[in-house]
Amino acid sequence: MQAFFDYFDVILFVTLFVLGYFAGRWNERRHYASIRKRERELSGVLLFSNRFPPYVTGRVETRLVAGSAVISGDYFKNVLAGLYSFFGGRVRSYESLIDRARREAVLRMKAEARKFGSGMIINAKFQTFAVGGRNENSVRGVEILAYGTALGPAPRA
Amino acid sequence: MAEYSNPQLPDEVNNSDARPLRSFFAMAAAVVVLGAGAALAFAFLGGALARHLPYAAEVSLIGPYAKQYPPREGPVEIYLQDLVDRLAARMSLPEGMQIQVHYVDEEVVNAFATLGGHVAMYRGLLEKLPDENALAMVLAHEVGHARHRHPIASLGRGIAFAAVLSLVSAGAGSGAAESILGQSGMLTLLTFSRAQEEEADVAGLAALAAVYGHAGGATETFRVMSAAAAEKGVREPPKFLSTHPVTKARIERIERMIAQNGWQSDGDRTPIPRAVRDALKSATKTR
Repeated sequence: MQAFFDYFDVILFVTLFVLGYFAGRWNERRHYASIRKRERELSGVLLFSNRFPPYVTGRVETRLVAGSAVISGDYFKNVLAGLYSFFGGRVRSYESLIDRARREAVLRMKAEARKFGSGMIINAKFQTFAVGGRNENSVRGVEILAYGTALGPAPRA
Repeated sequence: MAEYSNPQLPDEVNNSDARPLRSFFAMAAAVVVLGAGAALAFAFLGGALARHLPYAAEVSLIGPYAKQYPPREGPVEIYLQDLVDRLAARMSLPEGMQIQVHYVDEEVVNAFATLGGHVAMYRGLLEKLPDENALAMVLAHEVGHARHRHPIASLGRGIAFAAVLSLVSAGAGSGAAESILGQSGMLTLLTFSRAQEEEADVAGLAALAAVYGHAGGATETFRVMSAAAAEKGVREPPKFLSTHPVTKARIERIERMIAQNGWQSDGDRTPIPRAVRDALKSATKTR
């Protein structure tokens, strides 16, 4: 029992580390499965970064659409990122967070566009924010905001 | 709209972390190797630098603890102190170093040297020693530790190691620091390296031969210690694990040294005075 308290910080670390690894992995796998499924479903909503619509569209209604997603790291990823930042090189453990956040944000934006009956988003842009991380105990994550102009169906005359 | 499409991007194009565990273990292993190297370097430096601490600083460091164990005036204490003074006179101690013996009335078969020139002798060992020559070897060995400033070197090594350890784990680090700096730990738990033990043997043996004119009794102590350990059922650890040179090798080394220096290997033994023996016996009876 004494040993438990003496090495409490070590035990805590190992617990969070193992938990972070398995929970984080399970979560990520599930999220990616959902992302892939919805990307197929929403592939009909086209996404462009051009400021102006293709000339074929004619006169349509426009609307601002946005989607944002916040994805947090887990303890395992944070530890791994700490090691990466010590040795230098790509912080590989955070790459999936950015990837997931970006794709999720786009999906939410596309879902909003589809609700409005749109099949195309133009002038799409991204904003990225780091969430937390200023002190050691804060949640570390990333927010990506995607926004653009959805072109609606041609107005009924 | 048919001429426009958004291709499905290849999956995980931006996510390269396919084997996170493998990367983790590779990097963690590198950190452990670096950390262990740093810890060893720190411990070595701590030990090497602590030796150069002024002796006065060492004395003031131990001051508060030493106050709890003032010199006592029993027959055993006076006898031990007198014997140590005679040995120390032949050991060219650093300036200002004074050796103070403390007699500990306990069964433990041991003796140790600690900071500030304090040497402790346990009744358990004292009773087992056959004569004054053997006792003188024990005391001279401990004075040898003090003379070469092993206690402060050991403390410095321990503290430096604990400091590095506390970077890894606050609990383990402060635990280690506590056991080194804690009151009892500071006095009794200082450990010496095998090289330090050998250094103390050399210094002790020379003093023994100088005082008595022969090196008789030099090897007895180690036989006594080893017999006491065997009694407790402790087997000697393999040589590379042990800090105290394994008894047999140690005795051989001492005999070699006696031959090299041309000392007489034995001669007239001085008994431990009857008054001291009686004082030991009465102490045993009263408990």
